[in-house]
Amino acid sequence: MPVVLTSSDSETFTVDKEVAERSILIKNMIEDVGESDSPIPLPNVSSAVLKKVIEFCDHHRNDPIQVQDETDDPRKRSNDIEEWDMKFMQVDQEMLFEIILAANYLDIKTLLDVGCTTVANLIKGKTPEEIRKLFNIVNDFTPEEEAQIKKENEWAEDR
Amino acid sequence: MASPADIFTMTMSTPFLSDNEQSHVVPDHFFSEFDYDENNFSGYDDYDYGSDYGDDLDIRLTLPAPHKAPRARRNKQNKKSPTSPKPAPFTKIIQPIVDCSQPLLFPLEVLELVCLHLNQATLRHCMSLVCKSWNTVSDRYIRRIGIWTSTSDHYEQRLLQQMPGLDTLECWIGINPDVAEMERAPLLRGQMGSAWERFRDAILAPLQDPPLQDNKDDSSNRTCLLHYIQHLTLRGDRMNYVDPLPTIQHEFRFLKTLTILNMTRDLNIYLFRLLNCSPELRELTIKTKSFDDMHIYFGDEDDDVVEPPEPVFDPETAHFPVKPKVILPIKNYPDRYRLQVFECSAVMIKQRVLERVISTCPELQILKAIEINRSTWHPAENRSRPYVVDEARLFEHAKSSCPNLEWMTILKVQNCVGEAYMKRQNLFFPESKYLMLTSNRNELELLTIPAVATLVQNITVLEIRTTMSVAFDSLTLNKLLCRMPHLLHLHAFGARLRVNDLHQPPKPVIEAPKRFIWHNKYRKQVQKTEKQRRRREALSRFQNSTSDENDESIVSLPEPLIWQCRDLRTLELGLYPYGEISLINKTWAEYVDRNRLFRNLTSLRLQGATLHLGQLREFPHVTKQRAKALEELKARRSKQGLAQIRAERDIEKPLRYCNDLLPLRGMRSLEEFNLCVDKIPGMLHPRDLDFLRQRSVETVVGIISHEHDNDTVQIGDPQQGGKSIGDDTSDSDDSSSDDHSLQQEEETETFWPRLQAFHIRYTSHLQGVTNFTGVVAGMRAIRPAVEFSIRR
Repeated sequence: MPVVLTSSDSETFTVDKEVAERSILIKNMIEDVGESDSPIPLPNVSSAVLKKVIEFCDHHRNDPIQVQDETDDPRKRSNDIEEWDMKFMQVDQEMLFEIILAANYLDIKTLLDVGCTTVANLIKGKTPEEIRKLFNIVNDFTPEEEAQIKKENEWAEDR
Repeated sequence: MASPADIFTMTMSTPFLSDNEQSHVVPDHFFSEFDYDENNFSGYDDYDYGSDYGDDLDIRLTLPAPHKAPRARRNKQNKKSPTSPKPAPFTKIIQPIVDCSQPLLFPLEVLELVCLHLNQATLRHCMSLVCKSWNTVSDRYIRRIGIWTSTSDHYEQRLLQQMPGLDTLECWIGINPDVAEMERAPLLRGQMGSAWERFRDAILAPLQDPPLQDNKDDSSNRTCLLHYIQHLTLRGDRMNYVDPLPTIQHEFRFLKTLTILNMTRDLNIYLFRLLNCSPELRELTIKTKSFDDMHIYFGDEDDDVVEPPEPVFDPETAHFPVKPKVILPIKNYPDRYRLQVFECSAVMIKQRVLERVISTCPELQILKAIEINRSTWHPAENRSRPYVVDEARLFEHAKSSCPNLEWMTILKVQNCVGEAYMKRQNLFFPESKYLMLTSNRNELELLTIPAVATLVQNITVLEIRTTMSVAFDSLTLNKLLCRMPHLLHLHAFGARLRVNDLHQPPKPVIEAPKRFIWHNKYRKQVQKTEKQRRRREALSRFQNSTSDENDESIVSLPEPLIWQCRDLRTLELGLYPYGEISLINKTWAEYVDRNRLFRNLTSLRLQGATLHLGQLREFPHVTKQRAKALEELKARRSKQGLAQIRAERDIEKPLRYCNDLLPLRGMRSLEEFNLCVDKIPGMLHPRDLDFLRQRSVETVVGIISHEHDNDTVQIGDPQQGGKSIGDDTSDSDDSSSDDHSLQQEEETETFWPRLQAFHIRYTSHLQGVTNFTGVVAGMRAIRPAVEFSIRR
């Protein structure tokens, strides 16, 4: 049974139910409302982002739903991204940011995980200044605060 | 939308542009200034890109980059045409100029997820310094370890002040904690007891003004410093002088991990008394390194249960005991503990204690009891014997009681990893992805066991331990790695890999030259002999093929000769010491490179004898030889020209070692590098580690969409139809249209571009030759985002 989703800019997308139910939010909404032809509004997701999210969910429609406990253990996490996912995430930073926000809002664990892994891979090997430049972040530390954090972290240095 | 000024600011930092070019306003043909120029790559250590980047399966997020800073193009007339048909030889990362003036503020819960994918070095040196919100989030994931050791009062006071903010505490009494800044004096044997007492008293002392914690309900219950510690490690010498455990275990209510490493002297652990005091304990590790006894007892009335005596054999009836052995049934216990990992090594533990651990810890995931139960004196029997352990019974019990158990190893000290061990593993955990092997001088026999072939196929984690002070056989390790295609983590510090055991491709067969027949009368005879030889060879080939077909229908696949673990993530390996020969043997590096191994390796830990790096120390005889050679050159200078002058100049330069680390440049995913060597003979200068410098910076490809057009433009991989760097004839045409496309590229080839931590430990070094503190400071300046250390 198809499900109709409406983006924030009022564009509608018709997707299969099993694709839409990759999102826990949508799944819960469908369960609460019951079977209905009325479109599901997603006011926090734009059409461009929703299109990408649907593309991802469609590709992963047959994957098993991730269990919460498995992802909570940091030792089980890896920074590997599948080839398709990596190509999917080759978007500009703003779109990547929007996708992560949408995944967080729609509660799509796999997409959120892939997005966070991509961001982590972007961060690796970069200095704080480069990271700020990358994400357009303003340094709100005073020099004294920065020195204090460095001192604290030296204390925490691993062996 | 990024303004042209923003874009220009970013270009100012690019080392691709000369000063002259940077001082100009962005020209129309802006993109072509950043085109990939393969001329820049011409001098990069004759490295064969074709062999490395041609692999379609080799997909990286970070692009590899040259090791030599590209020179700024001076003559614009001679620049390569932008319509170069050759595509850029590697995958590119595309980082657009962000089309918004607002910062990308991730929600805190998303940042927390990002932190889970980062290691401690990145969290400490990068994430925490970006901005306040990132600092707040990363702070929760930074592991802060306090090291308690016999040290100055000042250090001790500082540690006590910091302790409420720590979650991990390590106590090192009488052994070197391997931390550089410790002002530590060696302890005499007589001072050990007081050192343990001091530690015990400090962490148990009641707090005068408890610090406020996030969880205020908990903070009221935390009355001493130990309550703030979640992970505790007790490592030390002569722990039995004071035995701090019975005293401090009453305050273990918040403890999640406990590691006890006793170096010398006997020590008794009362296990279930300890577990009763630690309701939150998840991981318990008990090890000893000495030959003294370390016993693990129940710690309650079960210790009083008399063990049934071992059967005594009648010498007349040979194999039949006088009385049959009494086997006690497995007892049921009402207690339940939340332990997930239990590991004990080189300790004395009875079978019943292990059974009780299995019965009472249903959440157990890892159970390892290694090298347990050496001989001990049994007064009732008036003889010395080891505790009896029935491995099969333990495995059966564990299989039924612990549904989450993934890794179980029971290995008695007198037993070796052999056929029985492998069969048991295969029987009880046929789908297991974990395997532990030990050295036993007969490792090659492992490969003849039928169960091994099926078992090792699925293994993802292989741990190799050294027992009986013997290194694991190198040839066996090599053959095992040829049969483990799914291996992800190899912990083989106990092995000593010999490069001679690795498979080398056979030399090319050179055809024998045509035989010269010096007289025509022998021609027929030679031709006949040759014909007969060929016929015999053909016949033997035919017979071999038919006999194989008739033998059996099963086609036996040839045994692989190359390591199949191409997807390895963690590698801990001991390399066979070859004395003064380089640590990273060239043969091993070539083997890795030729077979495309370790492309996804993220953590590398190597152990070896010598690290060759830096300048050679000038010994008197070498200096004399070089002076003599220089004199000879000067004498011949008038006869020869510029080449002679160059040679003369070269000889005046100091001699340097061939860098041992350069052959590992193929590991482009490497994030953590740890090296443990016996000695570093060279004189190091930060210049010697300049190869680690971040070359260029980043690739930035951005597109500014039209001002009145809100559509975003897809940017993708060049192969996927996205905007690429090399093929911009069409791009330049497009740029004439209303879309002001902008591409800017800075290309990077950094040695280990994803490196986050670089640590070297050495055992001995000639004093006064190298100031390692200065070298580390220089290295931090070379690569600011990386955590460096060189320590003894």
